[in-house]
Amino acid sequence: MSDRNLAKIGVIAWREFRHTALTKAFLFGAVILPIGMMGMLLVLPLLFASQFKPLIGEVAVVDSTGSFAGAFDALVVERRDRDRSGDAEEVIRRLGIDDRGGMLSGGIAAAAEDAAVGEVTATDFKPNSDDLVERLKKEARDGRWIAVAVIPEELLDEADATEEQKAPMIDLFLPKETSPRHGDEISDLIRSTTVRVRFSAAGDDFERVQTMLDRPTVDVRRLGSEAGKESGDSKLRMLIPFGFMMLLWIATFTAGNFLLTSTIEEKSNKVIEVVLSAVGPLQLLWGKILGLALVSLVILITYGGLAIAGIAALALTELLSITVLLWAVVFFLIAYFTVAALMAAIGSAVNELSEAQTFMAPVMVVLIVPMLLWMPISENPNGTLAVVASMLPPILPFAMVMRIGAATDPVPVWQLLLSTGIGIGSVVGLVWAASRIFRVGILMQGKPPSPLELIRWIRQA
Amino acid sequence: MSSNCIDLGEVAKTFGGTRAVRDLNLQIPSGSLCGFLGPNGAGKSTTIRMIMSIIRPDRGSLRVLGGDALDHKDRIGYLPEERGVYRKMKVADYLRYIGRLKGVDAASLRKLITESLERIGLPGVEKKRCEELSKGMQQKVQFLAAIIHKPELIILDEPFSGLDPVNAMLLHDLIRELHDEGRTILFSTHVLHQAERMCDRIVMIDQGSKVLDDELETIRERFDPRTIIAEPLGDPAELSSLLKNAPEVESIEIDDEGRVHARLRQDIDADRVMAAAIAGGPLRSIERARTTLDEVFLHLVNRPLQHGAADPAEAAHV
Repeated sequence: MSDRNLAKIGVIAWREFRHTALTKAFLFGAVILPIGMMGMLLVLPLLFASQFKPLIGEVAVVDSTGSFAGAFDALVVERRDRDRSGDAEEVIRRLGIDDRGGMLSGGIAAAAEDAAVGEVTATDFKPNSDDLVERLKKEARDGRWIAVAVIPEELLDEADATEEQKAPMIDLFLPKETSPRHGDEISDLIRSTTVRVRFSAAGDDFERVQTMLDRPTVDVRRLGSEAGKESGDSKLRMLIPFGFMMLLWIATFTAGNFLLTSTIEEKSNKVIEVVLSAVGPLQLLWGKILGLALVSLVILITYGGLAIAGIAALALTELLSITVLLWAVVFFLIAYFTVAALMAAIGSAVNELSEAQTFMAPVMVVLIVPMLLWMPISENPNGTLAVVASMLPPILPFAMVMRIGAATDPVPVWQLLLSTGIGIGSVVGLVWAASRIFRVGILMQGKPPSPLELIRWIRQA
Repeated sequence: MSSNCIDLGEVAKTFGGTRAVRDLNLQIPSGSLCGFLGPNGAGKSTTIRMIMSIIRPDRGSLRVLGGDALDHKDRIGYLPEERGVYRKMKVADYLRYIGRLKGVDAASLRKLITESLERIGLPGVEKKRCEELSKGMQQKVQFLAAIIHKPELIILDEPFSGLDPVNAMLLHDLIRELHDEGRTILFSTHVLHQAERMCDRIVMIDQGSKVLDDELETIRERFDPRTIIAEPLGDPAELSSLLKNAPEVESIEIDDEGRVHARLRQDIDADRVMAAAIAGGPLRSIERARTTLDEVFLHLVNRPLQHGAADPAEAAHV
């Protein structure tokens, strides 16, 4: 192909890119919106947390032992200390996030502090008069108490807490304005206090028993193929392959969709023949495919960059390596050209977007398969199903990025190379078929072709 | 190199069961302004698309500017029948895009676009989106896009459709100007009198076959009706009987509007008959009838035209 023809492909590609990506709608929808949403995901929990009011006030407790209020107050103090940092650290540890600096847990804890149990105390009342409970309930309505709890004596009696301990129940009266969350917290505090009081009544040390019952933390390390290459185990590991696949999906299908609509638009605007008087159909096809490849790349970089920034912020970069990212780019290109060839062929064959749906349905059915394979591939990235899926066009790029994202052991190089080879071969075949459909379809008006006619176009063109 | 800009030999194209073009031979000499005429569905656009290598003929030879049109796209300007613009693009961006695709360098395009827009009566629309222009204005922008690269061969498929008389006249002048600059122009139309006003050569096709291909003057001579039409102020019957006796007159008839049609014999001096008519009494008008292309076409295909411009009664004289 001469330099002049290549230059024309460049002109078409630039127009496609400029009129797709450098528009307010695209910048807002595909770049600013996801960045904003990511920001919201981080900020919203903090905003919500700041909306929670701390639980403050006094709880009136009717119990015959008189020991409930003391145990209740002690529990509240303990809970407050734990909420300030302990919960956040535990959540982060469970997620497998390395937060040695404590930056993350500190931040979450600071935000959660207001939402934690506040200044709550309990006051004991001996059930010495018949109208005591009614009086306390009236006082609660007037705002004196945040709750009135009536603890049956047998619940706190160690001797009776064996056979029939489940029979009696605690009565808890709350003012109607109490939030459900505060109701749950008070209920939980009272139930936990009941257990502690039972231990005291039996003469046991609750703290000691609790320590004994505490299940120890396990630090899981995955053994690499070489000594010293141990990696941390993380629940996020499951999300990495899904993230890879979704990234590929979003980047290729968004750009593919633009390719479809721009081709249909050129047909319905009747500008296509003007353009074809200046360039050949193949130049037009390649210009469009390459221009929208840039659009796809912008989407990939935006979303992928956000994901990598997130991973780096969580100090999980060990989950990704440069090699993995480079292979991801190779399979991104295979995925993009696969989707682009399909979309260009469909776009050229139809006259309206609604007609395209007929052809889109089977394409989508095939390309939705990788989503269904997420769990099995993540569980066993080098299993037979995963290996076969990663060799099967047109789903192979999606399956392979899940494998390279999920593998604790790297995917064998020969499999990567074979998959790349099959991928490139299928892309060449698809682009060839698409170009033949494009050449015929782009000037066709009227009734869209049947699948059989499409095959005839491929053979005839 | 051949002096023909376009050279088609036995070209045929069939769509499904429809034979759109049948063994068409067509030679368009360089520098000519040729009208490519025929009714709707005659095969004009199919032929033009084959000339442009947008579709391929089933058989036959096809040479444009001495080779394949694909190799000379930058030397050909083409305004298709099915034409449009990128609605969301600004006018200047659209023209720049087409100009770049036609091989014009980016540096010279800015000035060229501004000047060309002024020439077609659309100054200052560079920054407007194409969708903001009226249909007629879009038509002119499309025409400009076809010639922005100053091509040596210009092919216009129904260039006047959708234009009001003022803009049609403007386009007419522009086409004449381009022709005067030495460019070869082939334009199709189904409105024959437009071609009659502009072209020096006419090609007519019907149902995919060529029915006429000649210089306009030759066609006029060949299809000269040899008729004088006189409208007397007095009784048409008197003028009719006067002219009936003249030896140059072959036949005579009076139409519904009281005009006398005197058909002349071959190779006689029409001026003498006109002088005799004027001497016979006062006349409102007298003229020598000219064959319109509508009439020629009607005669050649022996059927009424779809746009109904011709009068079958007159055509019977041809």
